Amino acid sequence: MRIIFRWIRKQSYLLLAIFLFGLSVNQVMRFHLYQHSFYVQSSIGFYRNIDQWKADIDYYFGLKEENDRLARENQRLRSQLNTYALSPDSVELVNHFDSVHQKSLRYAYIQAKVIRSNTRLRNNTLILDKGSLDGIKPNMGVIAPEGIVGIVLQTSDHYALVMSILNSKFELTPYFQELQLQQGVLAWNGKNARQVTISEVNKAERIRKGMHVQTSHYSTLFPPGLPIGRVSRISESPDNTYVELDVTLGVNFQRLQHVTVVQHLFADEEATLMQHHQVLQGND
Amino acid sequence: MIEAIKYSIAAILLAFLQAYLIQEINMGVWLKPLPYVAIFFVLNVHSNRYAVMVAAFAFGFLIDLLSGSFGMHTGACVALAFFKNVYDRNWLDIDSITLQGQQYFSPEAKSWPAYLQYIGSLTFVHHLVFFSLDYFKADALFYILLTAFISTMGTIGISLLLRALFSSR
Repeated sequence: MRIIFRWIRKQSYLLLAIFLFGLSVNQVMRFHLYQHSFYVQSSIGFYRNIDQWKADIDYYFGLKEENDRLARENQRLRSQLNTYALSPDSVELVNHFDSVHQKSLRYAYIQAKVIRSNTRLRNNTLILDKGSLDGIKPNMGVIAPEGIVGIVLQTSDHYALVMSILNSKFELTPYFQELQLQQGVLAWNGKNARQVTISEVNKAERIRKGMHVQTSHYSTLFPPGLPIGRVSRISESPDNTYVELDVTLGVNFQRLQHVTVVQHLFADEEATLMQHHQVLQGND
Repeated sequence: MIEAIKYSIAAILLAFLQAYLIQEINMGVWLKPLPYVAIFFVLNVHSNRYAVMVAAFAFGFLIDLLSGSFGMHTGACVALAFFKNVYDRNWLDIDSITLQGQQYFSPEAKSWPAYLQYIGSLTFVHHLVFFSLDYFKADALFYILLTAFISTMGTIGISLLLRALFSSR
């Protein structure tokens, strides 16, 4: 300790100079627009590089788990293929493939790695290692094999900022696979990173625990039928006309490493049509 | 004490001169003289280096306030005060200056080339820091060096002019 104090006393002039010079540079960066933006850009780049290194290390140590996950996904896809191959009704088989084919034509997919993710805030976001140069644009859906992840908010050349499903601003109409029902509003209540809630579901619907919740046909961001999670709790709303559901998410955001960005190929066409519709309604 | 008051008045006058006169004169892209550095050339070589450092910070801050260039003059003055202390201790014969009965380095104490080298290096360090903070870009190193060099020439010219004016009085 004494050595440290002696060193500080010995270097006090240099330390004073560094301190005062640091104050000056701080002033320059705070009050000059160009220097401030340069500093912000540089620090963002610096932190993104740190995130990238951290993600690479996490990725390396999580390879075993990732392999297991891919093996599970392969198994699931293989069993789906088997189902189609063994289908006795050839007409149904063709229709089925047709619909799959059509569905796949509507969307293009871009693989990306998650380099930063938070789950403890009220409005959580993710950062992906792909950006506008890779074809990612705002308002594209982001999915993982276990379920939907979020929506792209902003992009830079090499990175994309994603509003995660664990965000107070995220809302979606869910689809109950067993009931073939599109109803309610899915949102995050901010309490549990593995759970979302569905409100405004009619009490008369026969919702049960364990039912699969998927994306609906109403969404323009996500292909229909993508998994979201399973119903884990059912409770009645205060006015007694609706039920509120807790849904356990398929995606574990704390371990999320790989995602797929969904590009809706006819999104512009759909938006133009909606605009025309709004104009016509306005004229009426 | 009287010396400190004299320096303070001179510093305030130079700060106003810089902010309201010299800064307003357009002398081209490369020539931006900052003659207020002349006050550092006439500082007593036996002054407390800590006090000089703090005073340099306050002086630079005053010029920044008057000219709206927050931090740039302050940083350059702090760097100059630090470099002056290093120069005075390592390359200046302070004993010789004291024995000649002088308080600061002047051409009479040694020679004109030595004096020009002294004020030239101090001014160049100050200008280099100032223009580095101004351009704030590693790619602009050539322009920073060029502007610092040409402006150093201009500053030395004005400083010598000021010296001649005050010496004659």
